[in-house]
Amino acid sequence: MTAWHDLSGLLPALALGVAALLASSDMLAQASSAAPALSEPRSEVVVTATRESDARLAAKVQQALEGDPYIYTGHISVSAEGGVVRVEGMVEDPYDMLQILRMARRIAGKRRVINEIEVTTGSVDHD
Amino acid sequence: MCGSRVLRSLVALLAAILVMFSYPAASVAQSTDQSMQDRMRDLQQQIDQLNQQLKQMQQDQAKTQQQVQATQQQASTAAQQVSATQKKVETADKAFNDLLKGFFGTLDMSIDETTKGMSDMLAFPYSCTGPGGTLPCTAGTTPKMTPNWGPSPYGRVGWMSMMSSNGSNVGYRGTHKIDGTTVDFLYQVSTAINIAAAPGLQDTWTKQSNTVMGAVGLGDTYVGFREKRLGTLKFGTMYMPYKTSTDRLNPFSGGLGDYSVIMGNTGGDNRIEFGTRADHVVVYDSPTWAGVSFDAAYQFGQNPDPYNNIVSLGGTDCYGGNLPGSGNLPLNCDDGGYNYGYSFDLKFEMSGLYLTAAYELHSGVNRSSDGVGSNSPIYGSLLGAPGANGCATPANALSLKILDWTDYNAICAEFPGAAAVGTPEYNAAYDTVNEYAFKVGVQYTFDFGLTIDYIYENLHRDLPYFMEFQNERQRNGDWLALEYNFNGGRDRVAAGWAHAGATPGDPGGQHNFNPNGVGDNEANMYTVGWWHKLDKQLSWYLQAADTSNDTNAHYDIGAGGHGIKTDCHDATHPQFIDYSSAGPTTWGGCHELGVSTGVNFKF
Repeated sequence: MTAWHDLSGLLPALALGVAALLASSDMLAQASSAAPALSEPRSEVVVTATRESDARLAAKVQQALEGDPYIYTGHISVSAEGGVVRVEGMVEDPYDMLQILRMARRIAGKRRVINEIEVTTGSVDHD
Repeated sequence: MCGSRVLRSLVALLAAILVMFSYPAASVAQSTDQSMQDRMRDLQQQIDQLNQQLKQMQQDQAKTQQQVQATQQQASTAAQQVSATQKKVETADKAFNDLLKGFFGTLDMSIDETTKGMSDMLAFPYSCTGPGGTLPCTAGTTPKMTPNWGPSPYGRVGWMSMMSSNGSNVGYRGTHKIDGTTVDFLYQVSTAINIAAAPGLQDTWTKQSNTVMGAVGLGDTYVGFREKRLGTLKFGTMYMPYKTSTDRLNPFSGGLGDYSVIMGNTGGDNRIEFGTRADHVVVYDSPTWAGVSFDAAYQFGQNPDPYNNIVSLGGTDCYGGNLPGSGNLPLNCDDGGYNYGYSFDLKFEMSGLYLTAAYELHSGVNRSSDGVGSNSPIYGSLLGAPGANGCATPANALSLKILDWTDYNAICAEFPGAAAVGTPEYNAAYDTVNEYAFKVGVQYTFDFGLTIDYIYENLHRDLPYFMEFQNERQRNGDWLALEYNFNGGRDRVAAGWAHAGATPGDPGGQHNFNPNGVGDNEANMYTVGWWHKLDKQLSWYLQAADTSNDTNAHYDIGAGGHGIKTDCHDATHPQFIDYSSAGPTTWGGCHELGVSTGVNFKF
């Protein structure tokens, strides 16, 4: 019993050690994967920062659109890549598209906004 | 656990005591008395009892532990089941939300008050053959009354209250990722629905349609493929790029003042030749490169008739929105039916600026009905033998009283000798030619809520010179609109003006031709509107439109999406024929005016 108690007392330490070992190996892996980038560290940093910024930017535009009480975005999605915002989907009123683009441009600031919204109209137009 | 340890300790203590005392006790017992042996026996019995109790307690403890373990296992199983159920619920919720998100639609209902603006008109008398005829007209002579003038429009052609379902539709769209590729499979089914009346065929006293309202396929319906870097390819029944390129420049879409009253509309009336949903079409939408993109479409003709005078294989109605019976002729496709078509646009968008150019061609468009049917063996014979200049004589035409022979004679007079009935050059082959349209559009959207739209359009029909007298399909057009939103985007107001330039032939020439107004066939449409959003999806609107036609033009209000059009047709039908035509008489020069208020809900 005592021995088991001792062993059980060692378990956290053992787990800690394993975790430390895994963490260090993960760090090593990261370090090894980052190793080639050492020659061009700035570009690697920029890529990482852009990804985070793209995600934030897209979320910011999406939230702004969804938060507006008069813009319907039921079929609209927003993405960003390299600082360029892309608005896609479908609206059934040209006015909705213009309002979405206005909002997206306002949130995106100086960043470019690509419009890939499809305006669908449901008319029956025989004579 | 704790009780067990205490019991073990107690037993160990008793055993120790027993050992400690048994050794000296044994030697004393041998030498002393029986009482000592009795005490030893008692102690042994007590130890045995304690051992039994210990065993019982151990058994109880084991049993309890088993129960606890079973309970724990049950709890664990239950927790796993709850977790699995939660996952299933979450998955089902996501799938259900995705399913719901695929549905889309618009429900739009309005109350309209409109007038055709022709209740005080009188037809030119049959004897009025116009300039070059034997009995020149005295248009403008007062009083305008029979018998000096022809009849007035038949039926209720003044102000009328109506309920209209406008551009209402329901559809479902989705994507399916193709495994191992970056390509998505696309699909969409859609239908235009009428929420103001029961669904059915679009048969009226003006035409007979084979298309069923409310059936899947009446809206944009297609399957296709999309690759992010390569673009989208769709196959089905869809609007073509010529129309979609400028949809965003039409703030009155689906209203009385929809720009399609004039833009893309050749000849007037309610049909939008260059803006009608096309059957059997393949559309390519390019990705956007630096603000530039393009779309291209090809429409399969699949019409076995060399003059495209019948419905295409696999179709229901004639191409180009030409319903069988349109043009007051037999149930053919001789008022705009065509073979194949193609359409493309080029677009550029940067910040608030949008520029586009678009082109569309319809091959072999049959317009036999534009020539008063005089190239038809049926109607040609009804018109009787040609007179000296190839036209019908008043005597034989009056005896027939089926078609407006006066118009025909006036047209003949306008182009003397060019279109004699039965002459070799006037036949279906010459009246089946290509039509094409070109337009450029610009839109600028200011950040403070103002949007400016402008479109210039050129419509063309490739008729030979001697057929130009009936070419009502060739002209220029303009659209200018201003739109301003305020109150945080909740409200917007807009004003628009559309202009139809003159055509070589007179659109009004078929039924109520004014021989003194040859070439007076321009038209202007003015419209204003106010839209108020109640929330993201529901809005209320109030719109007004006014179309002013020259004496030989007959454009309407409401074409292009409004459920009920107010046009220049009177209520003439076979039972109340006025002898000027076999269907509704179209009164060139009508002046429609209307107000519409309604609600619009999108999902």
